[in-house]
Amino acid sequence: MDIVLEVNNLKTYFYIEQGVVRAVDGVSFTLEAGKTLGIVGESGCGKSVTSRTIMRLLSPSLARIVDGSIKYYPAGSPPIELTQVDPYGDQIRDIRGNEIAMIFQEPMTSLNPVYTIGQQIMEAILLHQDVSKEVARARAIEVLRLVGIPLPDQRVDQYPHEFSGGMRQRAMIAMALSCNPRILIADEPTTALDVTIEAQILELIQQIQHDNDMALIMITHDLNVIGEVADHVIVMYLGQVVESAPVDDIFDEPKHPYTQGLLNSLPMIGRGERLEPITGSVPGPHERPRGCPFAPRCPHVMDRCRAENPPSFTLSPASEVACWLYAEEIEVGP
Amino acid sequence: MTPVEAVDAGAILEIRDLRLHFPIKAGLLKKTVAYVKAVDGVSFSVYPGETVGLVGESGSGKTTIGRCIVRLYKPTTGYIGFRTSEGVSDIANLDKRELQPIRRDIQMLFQDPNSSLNARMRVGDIIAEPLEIHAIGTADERRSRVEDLLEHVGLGAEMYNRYPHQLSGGQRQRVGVARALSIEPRLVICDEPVSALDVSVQAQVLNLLADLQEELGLTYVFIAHDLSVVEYISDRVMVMYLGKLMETAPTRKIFERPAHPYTEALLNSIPKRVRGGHRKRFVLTGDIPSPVNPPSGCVFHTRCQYAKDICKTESPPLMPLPDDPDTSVACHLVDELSLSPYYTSEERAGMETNRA
Repeated sequence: MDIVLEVNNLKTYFYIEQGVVRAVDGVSFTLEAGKTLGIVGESGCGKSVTSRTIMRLLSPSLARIVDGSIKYYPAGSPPIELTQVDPYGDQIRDIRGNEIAMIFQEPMTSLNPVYTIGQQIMEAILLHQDVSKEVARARAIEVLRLVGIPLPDQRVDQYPHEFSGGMRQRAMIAMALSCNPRILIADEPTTALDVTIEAQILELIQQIQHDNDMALIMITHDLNVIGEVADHVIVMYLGQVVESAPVDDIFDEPKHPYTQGLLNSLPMIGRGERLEPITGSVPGPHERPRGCPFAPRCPHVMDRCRAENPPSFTLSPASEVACWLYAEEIEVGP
Repeated sequence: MTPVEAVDAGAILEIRDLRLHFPIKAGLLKKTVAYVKAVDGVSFSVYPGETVGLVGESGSGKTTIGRCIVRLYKPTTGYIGFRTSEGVSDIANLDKRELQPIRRDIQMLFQDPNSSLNARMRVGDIIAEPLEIHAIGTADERRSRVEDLLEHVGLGAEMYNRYPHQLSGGQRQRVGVARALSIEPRLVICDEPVSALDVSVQAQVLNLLADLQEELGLTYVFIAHDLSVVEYISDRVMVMYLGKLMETAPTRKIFERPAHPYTEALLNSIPKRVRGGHRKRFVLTGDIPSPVNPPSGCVFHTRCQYAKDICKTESPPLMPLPDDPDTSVACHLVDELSLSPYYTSEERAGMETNRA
């Protein structure tokens, strides 16, 4: 097992006028080279804040890492504790975009409209590698070709508005891949795209992952995307991991009532029966319930759930669930 | 352009050869240099009480058709016959005053509940506004009607004085539904009403729309890009590509027996779990071409894996299948191709037994 990233009990809180928002509240996972971790959850569950904390993209004046650790294992050197590095320092700059790269959701807003696609890709290369402009340009054309942009030597000089939505997302991927990162974090990379383009982009990401033995964190609200690409899945709700399991277990034997509810909410073609949505909606950041965060919407809620937040119960070496329903199973078991 | 007369007697809405070409202006004198052919010769009928799903990639013209029906856009040419108790009127060619009474019967539900509600108005006033515009009832009557509507869409009358920012995304979309229904329309154009919502909330809104349809006898034109949502809610599906209809058929037939290569490609790009794993999706190469300069012949030929020479030169008309008049297809090769379905009828039967 070749671990590249280890996150343990991570807590990121926002301190704002209205109070404390516990956006990420005890998240743990490990990521292996060549494998894909899926993070799934609805809006407000903390999945994007988790990724931005790993990249140290959040302003320290607003968001504070109050607990936990993020260990990054670079190739052939001692591990780096990312929670301890200066978010504006040289150390994180060497890692960010170079060893850990990120693809954002909206290619329209994350590309700079006044620079050409080529200039934006070259920026990352020139920052991280000691190469001439000519070499950087050649590399930019090469990655554009790699992500399937037709006529890359002409396209490299075009501006983002001259690209279609799918091509902009390809350009974002090209930018993220330009320095051969060891970890790629994809935050809703296909949400803004049509299904036909989504299929193209996912195939592309997986092929590049396979070729470079890259570790991938796929963040999405779409369970179908998770099912296609992930090896292991964590399901988040209000900043906490409610279930962590191999991808097939998530679909075939979901344990947590929230995971079960998400699957029942998904229209499945041919199933023909009425959908059974989860009742209510995700509470606002300041309306966090006592006890288990999912208790007010849970069909199996018990008195204990409203009083105490359940710890993670280990059901098998690879799967954990944070739900009191499984407490007895564990206590009686061996 | 030959004028057309209403022929489809049973239809609540009949669209014939609808075209909307947006001019592109350039230069100092703002001369029209080209046209975006957003909708290019579309004909279909909608019958009372049914839900017609309109699917296609972005840029296919599905939203434009919806906006023509509510006359947010004036079509370039074509006929949109809408049946009221007084007979059939051609919405496409009415002026503002003539449209006013018809607007009571056709309402629209928008995609993004965050931007389609006025942030400075209270929820109750937002829902009451259509009633005021059409001068329906006294102020007291309007208030009690709004309170009824709030209960009806599952919000509760106590929401009357809230502002949109105090509501969640799902609650805001419920306000949108209540506003659309306030003046008792007969036809509702739903433009991607659930695509901006979280999965769990999306299912709630879909169920709400289905319940209201049954209760109030509404007719829906449901515009969406998500085929699993369309399959769930629609009786019939129309597949659009670059401003043209490629195939129309009853929902089950679309998935069981697709007749157009583009429909097949869309079905193959839906994520599907088979035998304990997700299948590999078939990938349609390339992007949708520009509607300014659509391909010659069949507009889909540039991405079609079956395309022959005739497809590059001649545009195929939308024709009913000889053995199945419920299904209409615009493809030269319709008799030669045997396309792969999303599921076979045996698989479908299996899915139904599983749940029983």
